Amino acid sequence: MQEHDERQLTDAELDAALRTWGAPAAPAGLRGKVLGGRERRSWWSWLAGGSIRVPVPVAVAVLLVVVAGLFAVARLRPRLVTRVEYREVAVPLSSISFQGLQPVDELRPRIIRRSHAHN
Amino acid sequence: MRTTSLVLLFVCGMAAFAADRRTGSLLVFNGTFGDAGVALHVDMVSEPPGYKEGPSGYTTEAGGIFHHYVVNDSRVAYFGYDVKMEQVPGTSKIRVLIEPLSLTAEKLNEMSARSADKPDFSRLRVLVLPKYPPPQIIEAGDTIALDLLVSPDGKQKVVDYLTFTLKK
Repeated sequence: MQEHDERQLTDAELDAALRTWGAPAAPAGLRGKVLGGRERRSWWSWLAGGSIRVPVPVAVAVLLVVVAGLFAVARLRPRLVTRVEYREVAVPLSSISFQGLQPVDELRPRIIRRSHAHN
Repeated sequence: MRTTSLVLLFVCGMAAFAADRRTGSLLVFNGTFGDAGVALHVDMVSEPPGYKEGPSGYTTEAGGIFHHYVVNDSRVAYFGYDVKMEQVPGTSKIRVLIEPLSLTAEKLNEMSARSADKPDFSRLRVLVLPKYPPPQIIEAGDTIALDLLVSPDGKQKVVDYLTFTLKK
C-alpha cells in the first residue's frame, strides 16, 4: 500500500483493483437491528407482544373520549330501584292465640246502667 | 293536623285507682278528655280471674281518643280498638264511638319505647275485627262492657269495662 501512495494509479489499474475487491460481509446482527425482525413476526405474535408508538396529544385525546364515554354510559344507565310491595294476607282470627284465648268476631257493647252497676 | 300526644297512662292508673279495680282486673286506665268533657275509667278484667295477661296497653290522644291494644302471646299479631267520646250538648248523655285501632306501628313503638317487654309492632300483623258497633248513647255514669278475648269453650273471657262520667 505504501507503493500505491507514492504514485498515481492509472484507470486500468483502478478498474482491475475494483474488480478484485470484495465488499466486507455485513455483521450478523445488522439485519435484525435495522428491521427489528418485523417482517418475520406474525399478527398473533404482534398482538401478543407488539407495541404502537402513539403521539401524546393523540393518546390524551383518546383517553378523554374514553372517560367521557364511560361517564355518559353511567348517566344513561337506569338507576337501581328498590320496590317494596305489601300484600294484605287474610289471617283467620281463630288461628291467632292470645294465651289460649281468641279475639271476638265482633265487639258487642253491653251497657250497664249506673243504677245497676255492681262488682 | 291533629296534635298527637301519646302517653302511657296505665301505670299511673293502676297506682292511683287501685281501689276501682274489679275482681280479676288485669289493667286499669283512668283519664279525662278535656276536649270531650268526659272522664273515662277502663278496667280490663279476666272472667273468671286467672288469665295470664300478655302485652297490652292503653294510650290516649289529645282530642279525646282512647286506644286499647292487645298483643298475642306468640307476638305475631295485635288488635285493639279506639274510643271517641263527647257529651251530647245540653244533656247528661255521652255519645261513644267504638272504632278500629287507628294507631300505626310507628306510634305504638314510640309509645312503648320505654317498656322492656315491648314488641316491635312493625313486625306484627294488625287484626281488624270484621265488625264494629254503631255509636252508643249512654248516660253519664254508665258502663260499657266489651268482650275482647274468649276461650274456644266460652268459659274464659277478657272483658273491658269502660265507665264514662262527665267532668264537673
